[in-house]
Amino acid sequence: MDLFPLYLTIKVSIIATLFVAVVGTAIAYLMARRDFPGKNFLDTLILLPLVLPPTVTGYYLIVLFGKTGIIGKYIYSFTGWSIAFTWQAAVLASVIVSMPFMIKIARAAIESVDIELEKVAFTLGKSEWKTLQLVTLPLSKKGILAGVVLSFARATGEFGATLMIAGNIPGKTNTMPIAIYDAVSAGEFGTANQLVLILTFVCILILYLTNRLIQGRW
Amino acid sequence: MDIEKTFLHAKKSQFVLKACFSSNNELAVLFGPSGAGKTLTLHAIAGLVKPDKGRIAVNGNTYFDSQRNINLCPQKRRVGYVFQNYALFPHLTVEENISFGLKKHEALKEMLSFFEMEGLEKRYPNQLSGGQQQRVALARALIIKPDIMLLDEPFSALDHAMRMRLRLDLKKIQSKYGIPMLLITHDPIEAYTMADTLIVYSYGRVEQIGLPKEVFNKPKNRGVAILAGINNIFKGIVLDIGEEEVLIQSHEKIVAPKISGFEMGDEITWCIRPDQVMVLREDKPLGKAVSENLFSGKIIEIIPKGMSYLLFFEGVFNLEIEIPAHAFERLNLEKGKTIRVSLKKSAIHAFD
Repeated sequence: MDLFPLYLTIKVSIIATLFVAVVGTAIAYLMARRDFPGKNFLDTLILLPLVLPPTVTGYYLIVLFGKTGIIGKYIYSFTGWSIAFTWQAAVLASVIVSMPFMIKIARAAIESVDIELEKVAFTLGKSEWKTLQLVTLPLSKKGILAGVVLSFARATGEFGATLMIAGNIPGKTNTMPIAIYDAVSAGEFGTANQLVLILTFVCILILYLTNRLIQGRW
Repeated sequence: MDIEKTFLHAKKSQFVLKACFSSNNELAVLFGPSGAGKTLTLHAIAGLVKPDKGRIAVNGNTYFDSQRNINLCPQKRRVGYVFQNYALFPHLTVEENISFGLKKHEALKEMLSFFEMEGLEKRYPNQLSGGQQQRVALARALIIKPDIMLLDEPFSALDHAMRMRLRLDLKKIQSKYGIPMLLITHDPIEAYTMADTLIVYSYGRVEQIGLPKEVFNKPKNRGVAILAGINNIFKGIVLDIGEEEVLIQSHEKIVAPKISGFEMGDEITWCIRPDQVMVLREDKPLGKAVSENLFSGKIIEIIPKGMSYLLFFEGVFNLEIEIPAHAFERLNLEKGKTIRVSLKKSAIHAFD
C-alpha cells in the first residue's frame, strides 16, 4: 500500500501547525493586549476562513498566490517558482484554515490572564517581552496548547482549500483526505477503509498524547 | 516626594483627574470615596497610565514632565506597587514571586525573615491565607528597594487582627527601610490612624491636604466634613464679630471661635464632630468650658458601636452624638430621654 499520503499529511500538518502556533500566538497577543487601527478588520479577516466554504478559501488562495495571482505573479517573475500545485501549497492552505482556531482560542486564553499581573511585572522592571515569557505565556499555556491541538486536527483534515491550490498530484500533493476521496471515487473501498483507519488512529493518538501533555503540567 | 499632575482621562469617560499634591512625610494617605481617582493616581505614578500634562517626581527623580517631554516607562521608575488584590503570580512559588524583580537572589532570605514567612518558600499563592498573600506582595514590592511604595486599599480585605498586623508591618518597613509610602483607603479610621499626611480626594480633585487631625477637626468644606464622618453640619448667618468669637444665627444663636474672611451678614456653614458634643450631667454644676451653646432635646435613636454609642438627638438642632460606653452607662441614657448638650465653642468649626 502506498503510504505517501500519510507521510505527506503528517509533514504538512506539523509544518503548518508549527507556523500557526508561533504566528497565531503572536497575533493573538496583539489582538488581546494592543489597540491599533484596523484591529476589527483584521479580526474579521482572520475569522473569514472559518465561515467560508474551504473551496472558496482555496479559490482566494489561487487568486492571490497562483502563477498569475496578485502576489503569485511577482513571486513567479522573481524566482520562476510558483507555490501552486506544490506540497508547500498544502501547507499554506492548512495554515489559512487552521489559523482562526489558533487565534480565537489563544486570544481568549491571553485575555483571561489578569492584566494586573502584567502591570506588576512592569513595575518590577520586566520588559513587555520578558513579561510575556515569564507571566502571560505560562498562564495562558493551556489555552494556547488547546489551540495548537485543534489547529493540528484541522490541518490534518484539510481537504477543500488544499485541493484547490495544491491539486491532487499523486506522489506530490495527494494528502490523506484527498487520497481517501480518490479511492472512494474510484470505488476502491478496501484502500479507502485502510486509509480511513490509519488516519483515525493517528488522530486519536495525537489528541490523546496532547491531552496527557496538557493535563500533566500546570 | 513631590507630585503634581493634571490629566484628562477622557477616552471613554468624562472623568477628569486634576491632582496636585506633595508630601515629604513617610506615610501619605489618599483618602476618598470610590471613583474619586485614587487608583488612577497610583497608576499614573507607577507609569501605567500616562497623564495628559503635569509633572510627577519622586525622591528627586522626575518620572513624568509633560513640558520637558519626560515620561519614564514603568520599568525605569522605582515604584513598589502593591495591588488591591495583591496580583501574585499564581504559577510561581512564594520565593519565585518575591524574587521576581531581582537579578540576584541575595535579598530573598532577608525578606522572608522580615515578613516571618520562613517555611512558606515553596508554597503557591493559592495555598496561602489572605494575610500571607499580602505579605508576599509587600515583600515582592519592597525587595527592589523602590523610591516609593504604593499600596492600593491594603486594609480592605483583612479582618481586624490582620489589619493591626499590617499596620505594624508598615511601621516596621518605614523604620527599617525608610521608604516613603502612599496608600489608598476609603476608611476614615485607617486614614486617621495611619497617615502622616492625609490627602482627601473627591471626584478627581484634591479637596484638602494636611495632618489627619487638622483634616478631621477642621474640614475645608462640606464634602470633606462628610468624608471625615461629620454629619452635624448647619447653615447660618454671621450676626456679630467679637474679639475672640463670632455669633452665628442658625436655628438658634451659636457662639463660635473667631474666623477670618467673614463679615457680618455673610452666610456661613459650621459643623461639630459627633464625639465633640458634650452630654451634660444634670446633677453637677456646669464647668465653664461647657457653658456655651446649651440645648436640650430628646434621644430618638441609639446605635451601639462597640466601644462607644451613637445617639440621635432631636432638638433645635438635630445632632449625631458619639459618646464613650462608660459615659453612656454613667448617664443612664436611653431612648426617649430628654438631655441637655453643650456644643463647646472650641469644637465648632466654620467654613463657607
